Amino acid sequence: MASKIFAGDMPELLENILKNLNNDTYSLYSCALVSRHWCRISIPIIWQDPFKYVEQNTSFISKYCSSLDEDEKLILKDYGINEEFSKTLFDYRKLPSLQNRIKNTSEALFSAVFLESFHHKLK
Amino acid sequence: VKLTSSEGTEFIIDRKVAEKSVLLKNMLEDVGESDMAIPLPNVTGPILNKVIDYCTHHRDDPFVSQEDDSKKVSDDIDDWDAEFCKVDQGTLFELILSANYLDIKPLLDLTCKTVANMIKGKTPDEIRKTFNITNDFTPEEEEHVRKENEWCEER
Repeated sequence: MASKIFAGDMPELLENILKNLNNDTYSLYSCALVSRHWCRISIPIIWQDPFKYVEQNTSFISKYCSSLDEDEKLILKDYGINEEFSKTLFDYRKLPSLQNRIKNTSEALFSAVFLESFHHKLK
Repeated sequence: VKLTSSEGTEFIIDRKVAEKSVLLKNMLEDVGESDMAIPLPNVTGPILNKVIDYCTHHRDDPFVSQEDDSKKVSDDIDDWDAEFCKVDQGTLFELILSANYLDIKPLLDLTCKTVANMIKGKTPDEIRKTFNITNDFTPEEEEHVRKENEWCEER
């Protein structure tokens, strides 16, 4: 039997443990794949500030965009971006840990989407 | 200050040591000096012994308020603390639960860090084996989580 630390009724304990890994995304990625409960705790930590790495890696952006509403999609269209984003398991954009960091979603989003299309053109 | 563990063993400790626990500190402030033992039904004798060891060693440490979680790192454990945490997994987990119950933040952080270090660098399967956790994902969910987050491994 696993310890009750790892069971669902004390999520703050697992959270306290995993927050120590916040610079170690390899380990956090492993944690997200352990079980449903571990996944729920790890995902907000992984998604705390993905834009910090936007220069090295932009492939999280399409996951981030999967929950855009119609108005926001229209704005993207105005910029000539017509991409369809497939539905994801989590609504990453609404994670509180991420929303805390990104005060202005559209601003972050557009600089990110531009960066991504820019990277694509370079390839 | 007198404490009794879950099996009824009595421990006598300095008030200063007891006050490392926010739970006990508040209790002592509420009831004032008293000869009555404080019962701790959630903590066994051997674990309470360890907790008292910790609080005695750290009795003169300044009280730390909430630290910024984003600055947490798991490799700043000093030698005494590292030695203190060299216990079996069951004891370590009991210590986490007791530190949480007694509200001793530095002990809770230390023990959680120790568990984080056990997770570091492991694959999902190794983590499940280490802590005896069942994988309750459906294959589809697991694939979704894998695909939607693999970006974080690439950087």
